[in-house]
Amino acid sequence: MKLDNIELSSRFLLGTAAYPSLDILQNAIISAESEVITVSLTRVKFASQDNQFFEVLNKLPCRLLPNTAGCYCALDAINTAKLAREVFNTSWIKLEVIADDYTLQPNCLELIKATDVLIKDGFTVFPYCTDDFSICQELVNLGCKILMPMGSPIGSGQGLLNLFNLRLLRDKLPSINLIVDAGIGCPSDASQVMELGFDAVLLNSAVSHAVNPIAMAEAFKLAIKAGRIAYEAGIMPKRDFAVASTPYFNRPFSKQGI
Amino acid sequence: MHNISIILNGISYSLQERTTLHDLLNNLGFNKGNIAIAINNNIIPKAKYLEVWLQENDKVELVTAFQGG
Repeated sequence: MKLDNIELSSRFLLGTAAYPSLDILQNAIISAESEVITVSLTRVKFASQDNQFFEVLNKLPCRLLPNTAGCYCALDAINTAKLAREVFNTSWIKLEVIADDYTLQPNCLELIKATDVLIKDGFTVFPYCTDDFSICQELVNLGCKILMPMGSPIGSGQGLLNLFNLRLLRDKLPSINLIVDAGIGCPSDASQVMELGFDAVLLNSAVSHAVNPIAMAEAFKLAIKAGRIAYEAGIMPKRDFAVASTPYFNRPFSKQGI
Repeated sequence: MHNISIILNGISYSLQERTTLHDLLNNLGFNKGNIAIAINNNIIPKAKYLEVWLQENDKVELVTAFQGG
């Protein structure tokens, strides 16, 4: 898979938040074989100058995808993106502009405003967006080559709530990198995303909140691979009624002669 | 030399006037490779830290890497 002209062998993008420890985080990323991991920003703590998280990041052969989590308007998201570019030395940005705390759904109007500004400023924008085709098309018109529609609310683990919309996006935007971001709960959700022909899956809570995040990271890695192989192999069309798989011709006790 | 007061990550912070961002980071003991700074909502590129003088009541955001989803 190519993202922003970068060749990647993994289609599993993993978040780094809310793991039981930095050691488990590091091993989960290794187990996932993810090549892109999401990160965020925080105000520095003046009591300690060392940043152990940075030390973990430096040990991993992963590209960083900083997010703008916690931003509720375009201006905050734009400024956060620019700070992230300084800290992480990358023009990649996972652009999140949240509408409200209850749903954590994207504020699409502010998202579009911020996307326009950031693309003109040289960023590669990975917008966290709704699965609405018209919004996605608008983001593409602004120059997005990658879209990250939600599967269901962030951290809910509800999986894919609107398969119709996701399938429509895949059909209508064949040249865009589509990544489901948010709402994935179990490996079968991720596999289903990949079977639809999506390019990749981004998730965090489903691994970090698992009883064993390292094992769950491996489960997702395998599910994502399986889903992709199935998509490429060509999944049979669904039928309304049974179709016998064993040929009936010349069965024993058949009344039909040879 | 007089002291000035800035708001550093939301907290009042006193420093000598004619202090650059570079001086501030040195005083705090931070490696500029791991951080980014905004003053009054303007992001300051690292190359400018030696040239930017802090002013009375500047609102300074000093950020670093954190876990994120």
